[in-house]
Amino acid sequence: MSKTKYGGIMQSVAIELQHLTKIYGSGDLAVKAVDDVSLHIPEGEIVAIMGPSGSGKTTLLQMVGAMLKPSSGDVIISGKNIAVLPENDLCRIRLHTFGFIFQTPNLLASLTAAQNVELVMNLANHRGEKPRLRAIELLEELHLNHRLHYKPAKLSGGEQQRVAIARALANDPPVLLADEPTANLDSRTGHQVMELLRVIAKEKGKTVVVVSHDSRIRDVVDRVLWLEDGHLRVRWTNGAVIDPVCLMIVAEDKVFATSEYNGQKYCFCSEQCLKEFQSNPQRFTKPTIKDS
Amino acid sequence: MVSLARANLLHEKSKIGISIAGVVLGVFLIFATTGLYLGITSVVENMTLKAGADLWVTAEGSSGSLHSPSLIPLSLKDKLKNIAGVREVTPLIRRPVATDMNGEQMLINVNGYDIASGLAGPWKVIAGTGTPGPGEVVVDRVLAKKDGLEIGRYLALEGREFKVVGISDETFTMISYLVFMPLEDARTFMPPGLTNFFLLKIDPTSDIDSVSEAIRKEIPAISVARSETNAAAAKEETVGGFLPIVLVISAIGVLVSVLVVGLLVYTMTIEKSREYGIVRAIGANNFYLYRMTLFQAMTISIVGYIIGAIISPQLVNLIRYFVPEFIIVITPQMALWVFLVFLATGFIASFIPVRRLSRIDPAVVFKGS
Repeated sequence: MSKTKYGGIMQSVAIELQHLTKIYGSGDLAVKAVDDVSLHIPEGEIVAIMGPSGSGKTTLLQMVGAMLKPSSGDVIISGKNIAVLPENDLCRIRLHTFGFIFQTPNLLASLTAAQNVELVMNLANHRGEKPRLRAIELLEELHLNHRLHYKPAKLSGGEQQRVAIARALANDPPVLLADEPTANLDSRTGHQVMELLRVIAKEKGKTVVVVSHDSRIRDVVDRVLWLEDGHLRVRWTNGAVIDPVCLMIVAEDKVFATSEYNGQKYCFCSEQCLKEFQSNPQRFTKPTIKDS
Repeated sequence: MVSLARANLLHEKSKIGISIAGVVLGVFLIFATTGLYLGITSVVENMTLKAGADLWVTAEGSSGSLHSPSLIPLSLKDKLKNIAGVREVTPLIRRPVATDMNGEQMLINVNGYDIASGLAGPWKVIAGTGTPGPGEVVVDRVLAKKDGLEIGRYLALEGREFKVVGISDETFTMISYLVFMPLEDARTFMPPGLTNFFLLKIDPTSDIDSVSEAIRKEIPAISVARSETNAAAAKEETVGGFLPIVLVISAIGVLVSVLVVGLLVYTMTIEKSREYGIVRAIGANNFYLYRMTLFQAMTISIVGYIIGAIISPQLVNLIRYFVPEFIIVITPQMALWVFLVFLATGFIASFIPVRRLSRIDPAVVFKGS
């Protein structure tokens, strides 16, 4: 595993992207979904990738998660470049290296909550009592002990997402990849899920990459990466300016308007965002400016 | 261990039920056609084998089947009896007689046999007696059922009335019904001085083939053959042409089953492509998905076969009750063959969605449901 100086400290790098590019189509119809993205994510860090729709966030996550071959560039996971591996090896990488949490929980309808978790361990050749007991243990940790034998259709959205998190943790992977994990949840449950991801990252030492539109995610992540038109534009940390409506990074000299709510100051990139905010400020609960 | 394949099958009960029903139908179709073939074959063979003779003497070139006419002079009887090694010679009359029954023209095969020797008498009597006296007959089960010829009733043949005293089974050949009567009664249906066959019993101490050779030398203008040889020839003449039809219908049954099972696993693959995508996304390879499909296809085929094998004999009995001509023989060997065919069916059907499976994209999980 490579090490890099990060924040003044030498840290092991869990994920390293080097000039990663993905082009869909060819010729005149070619679309660059991800364009020359390079970054390092150290072990144990929880990182959010944000950006407007169509910015290439999901494509980037798919490439990191060994589900999509990049057009060029390298995806180095735990020191191994997975961009050059054949599909069968990628299956193994997905099984042992990553835990996936998706926008929709993507549980298997014919299996119970416990079986959904156990299946991943069976795929990794764990047989007998051990995977069953671990599935129960994980679900109990996530307060689902009363739902072990329920099929997904009988679970609430939040419960389903917690089962998906348990499934993601089943093989004890070093990296968790989450794609809009709160998108289909109400704000309270969404917040709980995000808190849970942070606890997992910090207590279990997992590297977590979260793709999200949800600005509240900033509260639980160590770093936010901003992706726009396939480029990693700005690496935002607490203290930057962001439009709470469209979540665009706005340079302070390009702020269209500002508004105050509950003693907090908010910046907007356009009149439309300003109007949307003013129509229902509670929808956008988190402040975009942290006065430093 | 969690079996997703099994869970998916149990999750789709109605669909699986319909598919299994399709396989059951395919199994029954194969049992019915093959059983019909075996049934007719067995009747045709038994007509020779169950006659109990060591050798059959027929007109030159005739096999002794109902399709192979044979007329030989009765006067040969003494000549045959004098050949060394021949213990017993019995004439047998087997000839078709057209008759009108309940307004329907029917073909009856009169089987006139020597009551004393019992050779070529009814071999499976299911009611009454197997030894008719003068003016009496033992009639085939199908004929009896079809025309209400219960014991004690009369069968009219060429102006003569015969009292039914017994019912025999396995004596319907799809085209005619065997009616057993004493040799003397059957002579009235033959030109004088002629018979159809001679049935020979050979001394236990003599070699059948040597006696056969001696007869050929002594009477060159006739055919002599062992019962087994004549049975094989009779089978070929009677049902040889029927076999390709049976094979085609059986092949259709297999094809229908392959399509039913294949269609199910294919539609399940399409309907569950998102779920299969999830399974791939969380780390399963293509082979895991293929194994799942194979398990599903094999399960449907095997369960369909088991149910089909259990209900086919009952269904045959039910059909036979309404359609007595439906003669079917299901043997353990045939059941084993059909089982192997359905194992192959499941295996072949599992390949139908392979291309589709290989194209399942794990990235489907990133799209909303």
